[in-house]
Amino acid sequence: MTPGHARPRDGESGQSRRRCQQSKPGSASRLPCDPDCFRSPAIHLSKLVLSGFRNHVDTKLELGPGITVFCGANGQGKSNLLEAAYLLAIAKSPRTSSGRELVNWAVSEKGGHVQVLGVGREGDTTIQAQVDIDVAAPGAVFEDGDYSPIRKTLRVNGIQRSAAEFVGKLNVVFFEATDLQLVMGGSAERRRFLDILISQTDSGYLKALQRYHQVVYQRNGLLRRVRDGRAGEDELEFWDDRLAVEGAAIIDRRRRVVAELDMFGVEEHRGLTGGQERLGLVYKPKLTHNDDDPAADFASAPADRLSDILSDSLGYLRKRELAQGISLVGPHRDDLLISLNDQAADSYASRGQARSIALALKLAEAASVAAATGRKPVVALDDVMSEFDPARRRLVLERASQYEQVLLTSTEFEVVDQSYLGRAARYTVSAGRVIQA
Amino acid sequence: MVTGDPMSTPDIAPSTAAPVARLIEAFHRLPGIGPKTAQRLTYHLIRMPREQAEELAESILSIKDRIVLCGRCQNVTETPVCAICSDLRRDSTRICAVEEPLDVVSIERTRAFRGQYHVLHGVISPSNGIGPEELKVRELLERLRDGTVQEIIVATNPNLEGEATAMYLQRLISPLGVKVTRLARGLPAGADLEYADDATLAHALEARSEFKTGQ
Ligand SMILES: [Zn+2]
Repeated sequence: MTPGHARPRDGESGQSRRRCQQSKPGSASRLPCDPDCFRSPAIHLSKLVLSGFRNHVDTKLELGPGITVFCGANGQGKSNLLEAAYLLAIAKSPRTSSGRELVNWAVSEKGGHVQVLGVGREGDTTIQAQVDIDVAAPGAVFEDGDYSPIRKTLRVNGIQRSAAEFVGKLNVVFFEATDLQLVMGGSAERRRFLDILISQTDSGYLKALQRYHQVVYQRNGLLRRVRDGRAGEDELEFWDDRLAVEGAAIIDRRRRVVAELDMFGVEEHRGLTGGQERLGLVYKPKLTHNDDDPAADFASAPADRLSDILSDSLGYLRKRELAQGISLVGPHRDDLLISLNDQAADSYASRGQARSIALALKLAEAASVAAATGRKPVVALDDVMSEFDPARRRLVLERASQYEQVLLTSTEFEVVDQSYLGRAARYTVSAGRVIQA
Repeated sequence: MVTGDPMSTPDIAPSTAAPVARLIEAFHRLPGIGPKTAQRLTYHLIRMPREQAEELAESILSIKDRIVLCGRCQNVTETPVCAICSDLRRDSTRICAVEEPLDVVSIERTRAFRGQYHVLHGVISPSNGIGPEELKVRELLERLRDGTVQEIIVATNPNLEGEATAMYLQRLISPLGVKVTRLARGLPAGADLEYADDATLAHALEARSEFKTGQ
């Protein structure tokens, strides 16, 4: 792990510093964030093309490193640009799971083709990611007989890819106002946060997760069948084993990323709060055979013991699982426990404190992606600046601008501090059109 | 993964004649037919010449009247025992257990298997209400009773449900002294290593085999 990628404040360490020294001999005493020294691996979105995506009928953008500000009134399409960039990173929209919501109304009505295409540039190499959404005309089916009314195809450099193969080719960390839910919302929000983070850096994780969810789905069905006397308890053996093995791999992966987030997040949070408050992050299983202190086993258990712990817990909870007809143990129920000064943040933190925690978590996510992939991700800030006071805004910009590229939306340019705005690329967005300001 | 709207029942205007509405609904119940397609097919049939419509209706009825399941392998056939099961040249000591009749067609096309088949008509999928009882497992056990069969090759798909089914059959059949094997999973022929996904590559490594000469 080389936290230095994302935390030049402490001095660029490891790989990036070595690169700087190699490229400019004798420059080791330069400040790490000197623009000339910006040689550490990073990716930026150099091109974004939207056709028929939400209210963007035909938008083509050439983007550069540094800060780009998209300004416009609500509903004009500025956030759709960031949503598109994120779609290229994680193959899913942060806002909706319905493909139909992503397509322009004209396409939705008459059928047609929607495309989101992005070119990521990393040094001299480029990578093209592309999401195509095809909508069948009313009453028609696709030529190959596919009957689905809408379908999404993912391509990398023109070659069709599965979601698991697509995710992580471009890395984007996405900040939005509803990030507050990470702290105040239910555990599902936090599991999603961890899962997206890991998927961006580990190509096998998404596949493992999909498989695990299928295990839980089938196992729940079997639990109900056993309860209703339509299946024997011995039939659970295969599914118990799969849940323990697949579940353990997911827990171990999440546990490791939480340790990393804790390291980066505490630091970020200290910076945001002036060292007044202490953040803590722990991966917390919902239930195990140790009812009194479920977290105890997991915190200390070696990776190869996790599946045994899950197996034991399944045995211990068998009666309860059968009675309820659902799987009560496993990573689909676990949580990321956030504490502030050793108190549970969801009940103890004020909204303002929760906002700082959410921001620290997202900054830690960016640092973690940078550490895991060895290159800085794109940072997208969707309408978050208005939530902060001017001092906090400057802090956010200072932290975010350590990354190669920052895409930012706002209803007014003024939320961006003049010292940053002067150097930023500026666009106004109105009715799905993007115009250089 | 395709995300689409959940399939809805077709919006049939109240003015639609009852026989038309009935046929639209019948089409909509078929797999892979959405509400719009159901309508389109129905109006296509309205314009179809009568003899063509009769031929279609007759061919639908004849699969119900004339097609039965083979008394041994449970494959679809016109005769009480199918052509494969009654072929004396085939190896009756090996049975390849498959999910669906179409899988028999696929394996037959390879000409690499000279044994017999058993069609399970599905895989274990508890959430869809399908357990071993709903499959043709009892019929398979019946075929093992006279001791002729020495090997069951389980050729279910390499997904969770296919694995669950394979595991179930293995637990059930191994104690009877019959060898249970599983199709190897590996690289598709002619595939480029570079484009194989990790899981396939891992399985191919796991199931690697020694070079065979003189075969
Ligand atoms: Zn037969």
